[in-house]
Amino acid sequence: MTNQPAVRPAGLGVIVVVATAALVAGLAVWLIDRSGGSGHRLPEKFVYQIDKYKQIDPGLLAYEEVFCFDSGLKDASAVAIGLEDRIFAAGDRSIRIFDSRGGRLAAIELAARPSCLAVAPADHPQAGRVFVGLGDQIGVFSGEGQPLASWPPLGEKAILTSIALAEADVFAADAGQARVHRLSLEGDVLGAIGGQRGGRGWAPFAVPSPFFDVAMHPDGWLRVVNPGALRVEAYSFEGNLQLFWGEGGARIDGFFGCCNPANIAVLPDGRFVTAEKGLVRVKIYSADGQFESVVAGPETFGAAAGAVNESLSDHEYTAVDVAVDGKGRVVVLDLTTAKIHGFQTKAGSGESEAADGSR
Amino acid sequence: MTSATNRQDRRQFLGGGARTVGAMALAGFSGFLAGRSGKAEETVWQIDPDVCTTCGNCATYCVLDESAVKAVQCFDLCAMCDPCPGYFDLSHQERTTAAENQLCPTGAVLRTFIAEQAGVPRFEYYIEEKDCIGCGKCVEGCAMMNGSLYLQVRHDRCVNCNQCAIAIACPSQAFRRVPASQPYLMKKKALAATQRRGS
Repeated sequence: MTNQPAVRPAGLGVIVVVATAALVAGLAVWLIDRSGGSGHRLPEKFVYQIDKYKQIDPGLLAYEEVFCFDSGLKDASAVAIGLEDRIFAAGDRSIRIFDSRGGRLAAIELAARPSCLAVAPADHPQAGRVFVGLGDQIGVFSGEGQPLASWPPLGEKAILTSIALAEADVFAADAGQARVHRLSLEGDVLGAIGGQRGGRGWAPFAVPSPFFDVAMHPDGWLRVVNPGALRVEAYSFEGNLQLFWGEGGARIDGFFGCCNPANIAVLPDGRFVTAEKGLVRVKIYSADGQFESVVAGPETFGAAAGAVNESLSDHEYTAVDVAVDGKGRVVVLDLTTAKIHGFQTKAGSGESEAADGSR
Repeated sequence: MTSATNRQDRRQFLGGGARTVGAMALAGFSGFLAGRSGKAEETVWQIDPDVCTTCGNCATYCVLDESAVKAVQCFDLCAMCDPCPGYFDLSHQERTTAAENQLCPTGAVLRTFIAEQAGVPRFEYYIEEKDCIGCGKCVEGCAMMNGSLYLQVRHDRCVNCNQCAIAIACPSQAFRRVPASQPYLMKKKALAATQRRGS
């Protein structure tokens, strides 16, 4: 037996080095995500966490959807309730009239895009008349759609966004001039609240976007949304501020973002329905502005509010308009999908008595 | 053996040679001109803000340590609101500049009081680029309302890679080449707002 020193085969070191290098290179290629498929890997604090505000506590949802139908409009703008709870949906260059089950009854063709509308209720001297905002002026139609009057323009910069009817007055919210015009039923200008010419010591309105709503309240005061201040204000017909309520915040009892609520409606018992844009939420507030419940949250509507990886189209126009029918049902027009949703209080929710005005 | 008719004399040889050299010179000059015009088409990377989904990849896929993508502000679109959703965190307790109230984790969005209008204070919002990492959190918040903030590749930082790592990782293919002479893209509605103001 002979002792011989171990002989390393020639080239083994080179093979080991090359194999290791190939393994490392393979791992690197496998681990490096070049396609973005594994996401941004940023810490949570860099992520916009809107999702938890889109989830509505089921205990707060006091309403259920009872109907939903397509208005057929391409560019929906406003909804109102007429006589016999008929639903008037405005958009494109027309107003479409539906019964409360979604059956199409009639249509009013217009010369311009309607931006807002109101229908005189049964106890109004001009019951059934339709007042339509057409850019900078108001057009008046009979309930059958016959044109009755076209009132003069309300200013070069006027953008009418809402109309409210009192017994002898018409109030038109003008987002372009941050002012509420007061007119007679014949269209004569009687005055204005806010705006540059409204200076009587009261704070005028902050209107950052074309959502500026007004509504008449059973207490006789006009309600005006001051969107930039995130509150609802009550005014006498002479334009004196009486009270205000509302707070900003993404939490459920606040108004989201920079300028909300986008639209309001008043229930028969004086409580309020509010609709926010961006984070689309339809909620109920008491007559003195206390948050009560939720009609519907963002998931109900077609709008992709806050959707990640879906669209960055701004949610400025991701909004809904609201109206209330004679039974206290909340009618919502989704301005993104042009669908009309109807909600009524859930049986046994404690809200049903309030909806018919008996609370 | 060459026939007498195929034989080329010196004059023909020189004439043919001159024509060949002339054609080559013409081709070379055309190539030179084409090369010069090609230089004018130099392009750079940019984000189409109408396609961007603010996925966050811009902050982490850039080959630079600090991304070349930054948030930018279109002042013509900004409503200068006090409760700005691009500035304040969703859970902010009060409208102050305290860090816990701010949406941006690096404090890159700054605000300055401008005036009081309609009883409401108005603020100017702008981006401190040295602090911005391009995550797009402020852009998402702002998009919930007016959408005046958006992301852009800043060309004082971008090294213009042939294969941009962010462009490859962009899920919405918002990255595209644009002429270097016009290296920034505006949102369509920002462009419209700017044109309205100019008219």
